[in-house]
Amino acid sequence: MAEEKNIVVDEGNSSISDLWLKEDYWAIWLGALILLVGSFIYFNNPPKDLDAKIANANSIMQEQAEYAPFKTVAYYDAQDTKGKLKATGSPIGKTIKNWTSKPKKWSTNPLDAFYMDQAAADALNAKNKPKYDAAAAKTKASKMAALTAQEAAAQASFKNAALNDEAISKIATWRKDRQASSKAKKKIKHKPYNLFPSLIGLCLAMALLFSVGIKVMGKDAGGFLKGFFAVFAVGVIAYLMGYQSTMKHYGIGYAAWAIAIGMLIANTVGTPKWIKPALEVEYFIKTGLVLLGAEVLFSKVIAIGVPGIFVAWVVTPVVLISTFIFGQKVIKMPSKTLNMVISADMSVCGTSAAIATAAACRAKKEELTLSIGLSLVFTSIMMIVMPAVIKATAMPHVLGGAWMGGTIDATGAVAAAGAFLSEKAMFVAATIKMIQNVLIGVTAFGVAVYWCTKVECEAGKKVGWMEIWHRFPKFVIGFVIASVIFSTIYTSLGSDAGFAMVDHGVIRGFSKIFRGWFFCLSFAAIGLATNFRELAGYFKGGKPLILYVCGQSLNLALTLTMAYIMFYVVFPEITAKI
Amino acid sequence: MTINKTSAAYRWTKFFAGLAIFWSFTYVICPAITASSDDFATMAKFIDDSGIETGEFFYTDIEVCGEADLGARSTFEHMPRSMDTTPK
Repeated sequence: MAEEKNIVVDEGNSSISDLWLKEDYWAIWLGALILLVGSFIYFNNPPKDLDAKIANANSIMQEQAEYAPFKTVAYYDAQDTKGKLKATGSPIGKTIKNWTSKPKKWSTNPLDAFYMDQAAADALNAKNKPKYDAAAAKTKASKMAALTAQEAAAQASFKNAALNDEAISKIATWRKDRQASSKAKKKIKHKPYNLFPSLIGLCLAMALLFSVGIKVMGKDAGGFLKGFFAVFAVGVIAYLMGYQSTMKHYGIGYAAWAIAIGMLIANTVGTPKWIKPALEVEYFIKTGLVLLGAEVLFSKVIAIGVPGIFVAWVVTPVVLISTFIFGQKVIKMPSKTLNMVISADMSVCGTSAAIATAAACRAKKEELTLSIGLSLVFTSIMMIVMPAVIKATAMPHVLGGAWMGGTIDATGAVAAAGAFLSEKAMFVAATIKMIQNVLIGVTAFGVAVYWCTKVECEAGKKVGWMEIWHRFPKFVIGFVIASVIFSTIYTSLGSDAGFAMVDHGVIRGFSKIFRGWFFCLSFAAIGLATNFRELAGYFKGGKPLILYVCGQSLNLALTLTMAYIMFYVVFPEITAKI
Repeated sequence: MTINKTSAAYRWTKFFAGLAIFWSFTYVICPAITASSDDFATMAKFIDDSGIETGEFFYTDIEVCGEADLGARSTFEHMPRSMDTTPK
């Protein structure tokens, strides 16, 4: 990303003025401001009777856990009650959601993504009503059947394995029907919307936010503002295309579209000069990454599963390091940064890991683009092929879910592939992926340290602590601090209140929205500044593709082996209760 | 008439050709791939019905990850007793 790459840095400098003159620090200040505002809003608007409702639900779940050797209907009802406790459901949460909406899903008419009138909303609701009524009736019937089967198992004091299995099966059917019913319910809740005013407001707010830093850093704030509106427009079109229904089938989201649209403009009509002052790729990415730090909740990982931690945290670093070494020693990748970004992208969690690693090792924008492109192609294929393979081989869904969670790059594709198999597979797949998501923090920090101490220094020369500090990308510190602070808040609130207030409050209700836009802006800026010929040069000899395929093959084999060992040899009792 | 390789007409022709490629990718190629295989078609229908945000890349962007989180935590925090222990 930094244009002065490939230059060995002998010594760096730091001064107090860096705090207001360097974009790394501005990324931290802007990220901190957004997180503070989000925290102020949501911590002052918790769901009503939050603690009492959590305590009541937990007491029912504990009682049911001691009553039966499986999750009962009452257990799930209590769990669902907890799941509805979200700070984003408060009136202010809903207002924020309305004013920060991205373009909606559409199929043939792009205008549907931005505008829907009352008549169209009513017509859609009326069209979907019979389907919802049928789903609701089916759910009601399957719940009755589940209760009856559970009662029969209880009559036998849960000692009859056949009756227990029958109850478990009926309860699983009810859960599946309930999920289908809640999806159908959403389709009868359409409301009219007009996103044009809110998008304009959002654009102005972000332009103002970034231009303050641009001005203080001594850059052309007026030029930035003019160009920013064009970059934002490319971002809006990218979101629009990412939410087109066919694109959703292949997991081709806004990141790919922002780069593609930007590159189309840059390599045909040419990016106009007046846009160029707004192509602040690193400024947007680093600010987004500081916000992403708040989403890296270490305490959440501990709460969601020991077997998954082993699968994700043992296999992932092994694959990352092995692929990097393989790229250097065997394939002889010409660029260390490209090697590292592809290795992290493939082994950790796709685009988000690629962004974090690219920024930490100061990779070029073309290298990030290439890595994301490779990841996208393989994600689309694996999202469809892996569930088919798991089905065809009759692989247990817990094992299949863990396998997909550890290998498919993008979290959205993992969730879709898992849910396609079963709710159980989706839960396991998504859990493994969430644990991998959290690894981004460790990866970015480790790569930044490795680059400062080993790569960007002369061979044989020892680098002192101050030198490391001078060279260290400071936004990584903001990223780590945000992660530590929000993980601590999450832990101190307790996982249930943390889920309601942090995960489904400050993060999903505020910081995540801005983080998504900042990444989208950075991808649009990357596209607008990328020369197609230069990009093709990085692909010479197909080495990046060979690296990705070899690394992913290792990943597939190791993840499957480790998942089998963890879920079926070391922790079979946990697997039985999932 | 020949078009100069640096002329505005040439550049705009390339731009519209690119748009045509995007359009055919979205409305012709991808739907054709989906229609060509039962696995693709079934997955596409499933994604439409479930509404899962396949293009997103972090867990906080995906609604069902919240449900998975809650389900996994419930299993570990309130794990049902084993079959050979007595109910309370």
